[in-house]
Amino acid sequence: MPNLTTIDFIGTIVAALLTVMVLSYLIGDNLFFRLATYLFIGVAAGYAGAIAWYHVLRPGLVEPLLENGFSTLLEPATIVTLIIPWVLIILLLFRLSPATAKVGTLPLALLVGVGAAVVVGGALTGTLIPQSFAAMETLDPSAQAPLTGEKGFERLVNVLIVLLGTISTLLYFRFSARRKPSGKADRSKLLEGIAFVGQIFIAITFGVMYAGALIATLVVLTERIQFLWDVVSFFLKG
Amino acid sequence: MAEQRCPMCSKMNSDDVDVCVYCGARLTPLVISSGAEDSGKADDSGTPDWLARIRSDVEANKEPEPEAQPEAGDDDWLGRLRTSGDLPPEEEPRADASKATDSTAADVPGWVDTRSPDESVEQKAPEWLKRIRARERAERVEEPQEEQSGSGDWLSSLREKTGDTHEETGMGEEPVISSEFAPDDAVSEGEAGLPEIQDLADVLPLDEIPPPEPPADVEPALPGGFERIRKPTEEPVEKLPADNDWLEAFKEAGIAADDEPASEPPVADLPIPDIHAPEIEDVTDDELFAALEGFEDFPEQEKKEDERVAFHELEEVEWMGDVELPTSDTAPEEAYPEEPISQHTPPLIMDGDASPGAADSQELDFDAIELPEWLGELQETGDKISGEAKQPDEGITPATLPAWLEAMRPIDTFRSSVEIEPVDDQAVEAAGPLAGLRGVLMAEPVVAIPHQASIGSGRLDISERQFAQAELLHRMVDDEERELPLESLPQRRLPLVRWVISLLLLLAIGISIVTGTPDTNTFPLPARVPRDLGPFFTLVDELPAERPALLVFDFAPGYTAEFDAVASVVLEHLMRRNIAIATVSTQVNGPLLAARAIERSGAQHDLVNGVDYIHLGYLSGGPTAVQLFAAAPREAILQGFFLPDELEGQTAWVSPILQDVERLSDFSMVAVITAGTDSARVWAEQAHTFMGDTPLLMILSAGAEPLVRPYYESLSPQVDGILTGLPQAVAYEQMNGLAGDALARWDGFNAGMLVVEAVLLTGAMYGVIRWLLKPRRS
Repeated sequence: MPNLTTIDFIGTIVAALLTVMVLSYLIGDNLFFRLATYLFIGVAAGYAGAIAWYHVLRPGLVEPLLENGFSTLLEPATIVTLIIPWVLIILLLFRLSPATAKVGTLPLALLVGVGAAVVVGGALTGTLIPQSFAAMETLDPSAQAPLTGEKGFERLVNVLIVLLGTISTLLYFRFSARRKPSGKADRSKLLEGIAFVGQIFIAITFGVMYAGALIATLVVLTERIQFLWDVVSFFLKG
Repeated sequence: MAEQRCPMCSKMNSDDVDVCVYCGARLTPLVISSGAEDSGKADDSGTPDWLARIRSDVEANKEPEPEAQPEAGDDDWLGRLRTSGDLPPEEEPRADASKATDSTAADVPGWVDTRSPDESVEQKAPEWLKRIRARERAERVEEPQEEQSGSGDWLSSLREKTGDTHEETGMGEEPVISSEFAPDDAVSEGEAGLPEIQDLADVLPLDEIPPPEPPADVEPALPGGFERIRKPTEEPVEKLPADNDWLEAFKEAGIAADDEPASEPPVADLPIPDIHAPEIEDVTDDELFAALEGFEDFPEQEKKEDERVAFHELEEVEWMGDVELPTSDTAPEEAYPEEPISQHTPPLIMDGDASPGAADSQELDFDAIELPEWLGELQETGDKISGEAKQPDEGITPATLPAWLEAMRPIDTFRSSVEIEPVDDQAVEAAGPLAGLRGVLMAEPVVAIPHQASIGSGRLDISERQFAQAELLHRMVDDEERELPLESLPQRRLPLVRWVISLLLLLAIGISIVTGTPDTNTFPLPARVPRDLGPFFTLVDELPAERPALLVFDFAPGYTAEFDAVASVVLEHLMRRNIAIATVSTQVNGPLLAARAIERSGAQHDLVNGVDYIHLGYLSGGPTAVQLFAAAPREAILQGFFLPDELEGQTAWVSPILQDVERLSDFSMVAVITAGTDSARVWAEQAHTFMGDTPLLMILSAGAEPLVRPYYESLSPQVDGILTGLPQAVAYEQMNGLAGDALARWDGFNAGMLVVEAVLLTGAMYGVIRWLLKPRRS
């Protein structure tokens, strides 16, 4: 950390203290840990508010109105890009009061509807249909993965693993069963066996995700310890 | 051909048969023979004179009427006497009386006989009847017209005298008196003057109630209930053998009736014949007791036979009530103002005299009447029962209800007693149509009376289980209200395991950092390049330099340390190739992290803001904004972030870097730096359609790779390259020939991984050993 400015030096000291305060959770929940946590939450919220105003609201709704003047309010483009958003925003503000919350239903419905349509459409065209075609194409022995280069026996094994994992995982989440004369509803033995295989695949998947999270966390811990050692080294070296 | 109806099955039979051809019931009842040839035998057999006279009247007034035939079992003499009262009066009593058989007259008491005096019969008459007849004779001398009428009965004369008196004095204009004491009206309509007859009329069937008769045709009165008994009957009466005693005939009839339960009830040992037995059988006991409210003491006799006997005794009382006339000088109403039996006496008196006044009592001194012995016994019994019947008037004893009825009776739910103020104290109505009136009933006092709700006021019948549950609920409610003492906190256990693992990690990472040097690594570097890294590196290395690369910083500040090592290698590669960089973020903190990353990496390359890189800033709106940005980037981003001074007040799109960018495919590549699978999936789903030939790369955290890999390994990949984790970053630096942050953290990361693996292995072994040492169940 050579040639640190005053701001950078203060920032480095504060960062080191906050890091130690967070690591103090090793001895249990304490005041320093909570103080650091609240500080992060407050700073993040304040920064988010500032970003929303300076990068969303002001350039999108205020500046066009101030720059172009009120004479352009009746223009079609202005109505679509400025008036309607303002009306929707005002209507959404009515939800702050329970008495007038019903007025804000329209913009809320618009947000939810548009958001759901976009997400579902994207999921269909971007995930479900492409992945389904990809899963069907993988059964072709002559097919070769364009990016990984898998082919032949390797690809066959990989495809069978993917197929078994997909089917067994889906059957694991099939909870419906036929009721027996005794009144107990159990799945068939075959279905139970396949579901058990699916359960193994799910466990492996979550294990891999946990391992990745652990690796990422370990990288972060290493970086923080490296930062603390650099700060200590800086002060030790004077 | 005349027909007669069977009293049992109600079917028509010819008049010449005595027994019903359908049911076998006797159509004409057996009666005591009334032939003149039997009179002497009857007298000799000791038949009472008065009964013989009654029989003579019955026989004299007998008119065949099949539809009114008595029941088969109704062959006792009192039953016939009773039915005779239902028949219309005889026009010429004396003529009928002369037709009556002497044998029947021998059985009738002499005091009942109203025929002309007969010496033989006169001698057998009681003293009281003799006195009456003597008085009658005296009056007959005084009133010759009465002699001409042929009515030798003293009461008949009295009636006629009374009728004259009514006509003379105008008393006949008083409907109350005349109607009240008209015997037939009283019997048929149940006037107020005959309460017990009215009750009996309620009890008896309607066809048993005698029709009203004109007062002018009233027969000479007899004492008591014999007034009705003595009336001629219209029913054909079969004569009994004259040599049979009437009581024996009655007993035989009773025995015969026992064989036919529907015709007559079993007769108890009664001192007199059961007069109203057939009628009693037509009604229930409850109706009888309801009709005879004065005899509430008898319901205590629970046996049905006893009740029936008691009722017979009551009938005797009633019957005797007709006989017993007020002996005092007071009027009957005054002598027995509240006793129904005594109120039955006026018809007897009014037959001879309409006035119930003292004159009748003076003329008829019934104390001097000598009753037959058996009548005397009945009178004593009647007095006894009458005395018992009077008791309820003195104080009504509470009824003894059955247990089930007592349980059904609601608890006192309404206070029936309402204090009514005197008239003077009552408020005067001030409004409404009743204004000015006193004592107007107001709804408020009644409504305002507190009373318990009638619904659910009954006592609940709960079981032991319900009671236990109620107690449990009550205890739970009490426990809720009770303040529980604070339990002593369990002794806090020190997190020794957590401390040990943390200490091991810190020591391992710290030692590797302190002892390591940037040039020499304790842990060996990756010997092989990962298979996925080659295409990625090649892709970045072959990017066209004239088109800017778009980097999406969609990760939280907590992952900065990881992406400083992983993403910096790509940034370094791009900077080394002088590829302009544009950054954007769908998270609020993303623009700041992007600026920091560019500043850290670009410090060594002297990059200029607005020339070598540009920050588009925050893209608000989530998936919708991503789609909008992919379709029309200039519409989605209106300004910029950390724009250079020359671009102050303008948008980032006017910068030289983005001048030629109109859509997403105008970028050389799009690299998404993210730690979450959601952000990676959103960009893959929403932006892939608008990417064209522009590659989509993913710089991922280690935990997000498994869920993004399907987009990469597909035969139609939506993600063109994945760079994930520190090992690939180290390999990327090795391929790039630079030593960056990834390599600097390699020793510490590997030391930490070694500790983590050791901890995981130790924990797994501990679990296996514990599982093996765990006692197994059979």
